[in-house]
Amino acid sequence: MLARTKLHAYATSALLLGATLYPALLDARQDGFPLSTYPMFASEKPERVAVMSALALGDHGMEQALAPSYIANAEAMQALATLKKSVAAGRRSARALCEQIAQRVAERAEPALNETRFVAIVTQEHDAVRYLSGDKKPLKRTEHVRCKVSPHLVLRLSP
Amino acid sequence: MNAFLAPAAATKLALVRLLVGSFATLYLLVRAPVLADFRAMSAARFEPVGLAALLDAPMSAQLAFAAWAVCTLLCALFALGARFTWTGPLAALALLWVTSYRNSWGMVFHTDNLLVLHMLALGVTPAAADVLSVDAARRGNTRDSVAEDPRYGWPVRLVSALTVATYVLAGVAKLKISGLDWASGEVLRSTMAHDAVRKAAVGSIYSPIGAWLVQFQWPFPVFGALTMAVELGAPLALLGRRIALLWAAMVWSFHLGVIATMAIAFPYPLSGVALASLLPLERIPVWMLSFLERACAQLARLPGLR
Repeated sequence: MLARTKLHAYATSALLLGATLYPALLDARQDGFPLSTYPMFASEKPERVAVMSALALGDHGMEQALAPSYIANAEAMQALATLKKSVAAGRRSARALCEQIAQRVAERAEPALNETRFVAIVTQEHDAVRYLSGDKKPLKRTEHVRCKVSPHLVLRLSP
Repeated sequence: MNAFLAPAAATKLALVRLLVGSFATLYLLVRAPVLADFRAMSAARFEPVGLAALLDAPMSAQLAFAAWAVCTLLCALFALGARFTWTGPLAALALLWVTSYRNSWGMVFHTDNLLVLHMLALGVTPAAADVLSVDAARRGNTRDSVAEDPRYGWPVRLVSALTVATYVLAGVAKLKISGLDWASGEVLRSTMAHDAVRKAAVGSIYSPIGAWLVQFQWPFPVFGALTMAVELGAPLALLGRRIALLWAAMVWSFHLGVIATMAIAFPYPLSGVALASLLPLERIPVWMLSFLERACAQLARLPGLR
């Protein structure tokens, strides 16, 4: 009985602990799941941050960052990854995502977004610390794609 | 006999199973919007990791939902210790599947790893359901009728060792990528600022405390040194009860700090369940254990669990 317990204990422990610790032998940036090097927060980030976002644009200079759920799901980081990869994959892919977002804006018809005429996917560069102390004006702005929010759909679906 | 195989009472292992399984079930239910609903995800964004690497393309939204539902049910049975010989490993594998799939959309999160590792360690340990479980009630096992045994000690120690290992790995990654400079705090400060700006840009929640703190340099060497001490000093927690308790308190405070300054929640350690194997669970009041035993006996009479 004890021999069986020993075998079970050592085999299970060696397998699970070995697998968990194995990523320590790999490049620390080589992340995975469920075995990970846990590289989050490990590398220094530049002071100047380039951030991609989807903006709702309307008349009279209305501009509002769209929440992650319009882009992918409720996860902010997954939404950012979706934006980055769509833009990196080329104009067609970026336009397809932009149109999906515009359709969601129209379908959900949130009162705060009723004035939205366009959705744009943009990259804005900020000085991170200055941004957080209230200076939100970007140092540089690049618009990757802009698409129209169908006014008919907004009107039809608005309460 | 070595310390790893030292005999222990069955109660602590059973409580760890109950806590980890219950956490997994609740987590699956509360996080259902991101674990069960993939209708808005574009197939072009699918980058499978873990078990999901077996797939060439995403599952249909209905199948992904069904996988989540089955997994939730299995995790509940895992927590109850019902047919544990089967539901233990199956629940662990199902959770590995669901979390792999969730992490397969361009962003690997680090909130699920330890939970999955703990479920795997406990799931392949049938002794985890020898008491305080539906199976124990069906067999007529009580806490008093099951003697101390080596089978009940090592799985708890393994769960603790896995917890410690993941924190050491996070410390090693910081050393490998940024060196000892990481402890000076500048990397942490830049990460905090970077993270807050990115979240603000996508209209997500970010921490106003972190946004305010990054304007000062002086607190960050303290935060950096403490973080490194918690991560690289983790193995000390395996040396004794008091130091384990101290380390668990430091880890919990560390995660509290992360949520306060970066709005990043690691629910598993924050709930305390990830650290349960390091705590003196055997000291919980007898009336509570008796209540759990009676609840399991009642559940064992239900038609599906009989």
